[in-house]
Amino acid sequence: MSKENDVQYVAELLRGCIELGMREGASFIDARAELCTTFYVELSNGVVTAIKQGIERGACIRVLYRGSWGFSTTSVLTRESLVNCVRSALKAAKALAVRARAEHRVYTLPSCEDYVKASLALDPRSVSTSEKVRDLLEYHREIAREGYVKSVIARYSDEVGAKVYVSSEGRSIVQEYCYTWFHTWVVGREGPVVASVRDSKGTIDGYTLWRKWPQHEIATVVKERLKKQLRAKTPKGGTFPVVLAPEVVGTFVHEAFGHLAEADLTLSGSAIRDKMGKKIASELVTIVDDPTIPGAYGTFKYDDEGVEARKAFLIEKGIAKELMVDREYAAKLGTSPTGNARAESYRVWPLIRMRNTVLLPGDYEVNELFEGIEFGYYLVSVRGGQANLDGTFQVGIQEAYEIVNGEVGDPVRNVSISGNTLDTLMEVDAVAKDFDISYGRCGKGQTVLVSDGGPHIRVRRIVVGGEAT
Amino acid sequence: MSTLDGYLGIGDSVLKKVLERGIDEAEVYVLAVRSKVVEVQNNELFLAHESGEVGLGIRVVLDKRIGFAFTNDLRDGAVKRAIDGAISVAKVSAREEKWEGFPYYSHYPEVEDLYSVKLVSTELDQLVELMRNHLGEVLQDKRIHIVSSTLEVSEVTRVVVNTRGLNLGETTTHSIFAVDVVANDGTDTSPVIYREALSRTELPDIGAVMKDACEYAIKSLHPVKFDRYRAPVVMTEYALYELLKYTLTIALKGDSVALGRSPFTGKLGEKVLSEKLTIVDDGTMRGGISSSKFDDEGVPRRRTILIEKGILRNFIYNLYWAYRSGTESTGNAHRGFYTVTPRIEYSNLIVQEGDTSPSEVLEELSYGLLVDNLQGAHSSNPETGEFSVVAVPAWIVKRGELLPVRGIMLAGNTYELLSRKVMYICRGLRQRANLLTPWIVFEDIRVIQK
Repeated sequence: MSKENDVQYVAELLRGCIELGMREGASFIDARAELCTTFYVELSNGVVTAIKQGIERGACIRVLYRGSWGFSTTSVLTRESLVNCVRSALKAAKALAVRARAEHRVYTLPSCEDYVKASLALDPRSVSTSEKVRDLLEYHREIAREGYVKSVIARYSDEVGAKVYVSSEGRSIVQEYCYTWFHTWVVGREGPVVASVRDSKGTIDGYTLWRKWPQHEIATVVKERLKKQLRAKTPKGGTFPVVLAPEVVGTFVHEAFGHLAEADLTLSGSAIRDKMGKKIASELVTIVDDPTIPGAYGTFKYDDEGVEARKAFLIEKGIAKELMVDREYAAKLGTSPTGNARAESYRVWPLIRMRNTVLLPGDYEVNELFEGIEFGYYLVSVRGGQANLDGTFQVGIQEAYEIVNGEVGDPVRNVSISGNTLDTLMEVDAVAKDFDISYGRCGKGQTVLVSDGGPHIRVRRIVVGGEAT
Repeated sequence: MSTLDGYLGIGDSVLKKVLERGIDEAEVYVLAVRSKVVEVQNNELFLAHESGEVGLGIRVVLDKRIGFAFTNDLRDGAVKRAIDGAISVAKVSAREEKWEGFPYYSHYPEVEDLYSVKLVSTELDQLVELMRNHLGEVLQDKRIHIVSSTLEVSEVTRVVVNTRGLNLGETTTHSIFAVDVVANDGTDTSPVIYREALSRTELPDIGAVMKDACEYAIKSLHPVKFDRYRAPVVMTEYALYELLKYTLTIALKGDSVALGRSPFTGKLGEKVLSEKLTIVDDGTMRGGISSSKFDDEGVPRRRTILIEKGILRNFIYNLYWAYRSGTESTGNAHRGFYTVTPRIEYSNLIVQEGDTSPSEVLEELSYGLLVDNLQGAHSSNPETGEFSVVAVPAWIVKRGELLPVRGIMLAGNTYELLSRKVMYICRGLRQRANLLTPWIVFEDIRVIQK
């Protein structure tokens, strides 16, 4: 059976299950299936240390029965197994319905039939295992040349397949997809100083990674970053003006702000719960969660609830404008759905997740941002970030410099920034014209691929920490 | 139960198909999981969920080159494609000169309390009922908001068969309860308080865990100003889990050592941490959440002393890294799922308790911090131990009195803390995931307050 036929067959089985469930009194049912193949390889110091191929398929069914949700998943895509699956979802919903007076509702949509083909420049399934390994080794060779590079981990993975979405509204959607991902972690040592650097890249249009970012280009950036850290000093702790490069802006808008504007987290008491329609940031700040940025990880036509994905304007010129929602929160808040429901796989319930979260560019030239800063920091690349619902955040930085009298100065290492997100957004006093995005993975119990980014920005004051005891 | 035999049968039949391809060294790992889950979101019973998943991973070895592939499509065609995949992967894999093969049958420990018929036969209805009752109780307090909470009961069967005649199967059960709580009294919102409880054989005491989380959430309202630059810090099991997870626990793994990423490389037998610290990995602990007869490669579980009174005694290994390092596997191969190859992971990681009572510590501290969780610990540097994290939730401890603080950053070096700044190891093991640790008091950490 061809791939396409296999997918259509599964869609038909799922439609049958939905009919069966609706006859037993459900008010809404939807089902998702995924059929994909995966590939992953990891090199440690130029040696293949992990490599695998996989075949995964499975489905899940959600049933809404008298205001309560039931859910069931299976890895067996036969008629019998899927019928059991809808029955156990129904049973779960009924178990809740008799005990909880829940009133879950979903935003319903018109019927729709669509088949979204992935247009791939080069299908990763047609590239041999040995060729993928050769390409990754090429990156290793580029980076391992320098004496201060002590260990290199390089990873490549791809996932190619199709998602099926079917609902009791008569929606029946198939979307093909293809993600590739590159990640590296390099450790260097010079004398007693040890430092590490991480970097990631990604594509959604096939095996095009090395065309977009040739191995030697990635290696050059990583080596420079490492070399500077090895020769860097530790920062003074305290409050300083900073200039943030796009990668840091991306992590900040995603981690520190974005999560606060995921409607489920907002309503559970995030720092912006009572701030909708109010000014929460400098008027220079517009933050959008945009599923249409070409080539970005969070770009797709329908989300995992079969909803058309559209831009969500989270902050427009400093005003908190809208939240990212799924079908349920769209119904609850009386807003139109944004298409932010995403699931890591068929095994799990879709959650409100970001897609491509970006701060829109402004009018400044990048070099103008540094003018007038007597002493501050220029933060270029991120190690990791985290935030809390109350609006406190912390971002670890792996490439940073002092700014002295308006000029970029010596590199500093082991820097992190922290503070209150909204206070920090208020302190943004210049936004540059440039724009770049990064490729990452976001965890919220489930992991999904996201992009984030923006231009260079300047923040008047931020807490910089990191000096060792 | 016949299901274990069924999964052993699947393992055998796939192994046979591999052998038919003329491959004489292979292993098949079968994993079957059945779960029942109840979820609360934003104060409401949100979802009841049943799921089942069966899948398998195949490792083949061709002339010391190891290939791996997995599939959860168990039809003949897909299994054949997975075997082909494993072979193609083996062909491009590095030759592991030191590879000495999959394990032979060995002596396996008898570990008690890893399975409960009673637990696994708990109906979804009962789980829903329990969650509803406890939720209703804590929500009496209008300041409390349950962001999310999960109660799960699972049955897991693992099968390992290999071409050296190994044919092992084990079925275990577990239950996990977790809750995220915030308090809001109309003028202030607390940070999220996370609590969890795990058991192999019983449903956790949901009521007690929820109440504890709520109490701490309310205690976090209305922060005061912290005005010191250094302070003694009491870390709970939640804070310690974060602190250790990205530094010490990486440094004690055999792969970090072999790759020169561990500051402990070449230091076996040397004093590397405070003599107050003894740390053990014990996969045979009765009822332990990560205990089992054998690890995910079929190597017997055991008890391994990692740090004994500050002296470095052992690292943990799986087969691959043990062969590479010229030592033996400590039974610490872990897969987590059938889609991954075995990596090194702790079973039950235990920090030996001390004799200081936690409440006395809080009473005696004239001015310090109690830190219940760390934010941003994943940005720590595992090679050097440097960290810079937000302590949240956190309280000033003033002779037994707890005053909430926010926006506190702690900066330092994990290895230095654990070697030179351990003031007290408290009494009483507390659990966060597979870490069992008492509270630890550090004498002096640098604090940055906004």
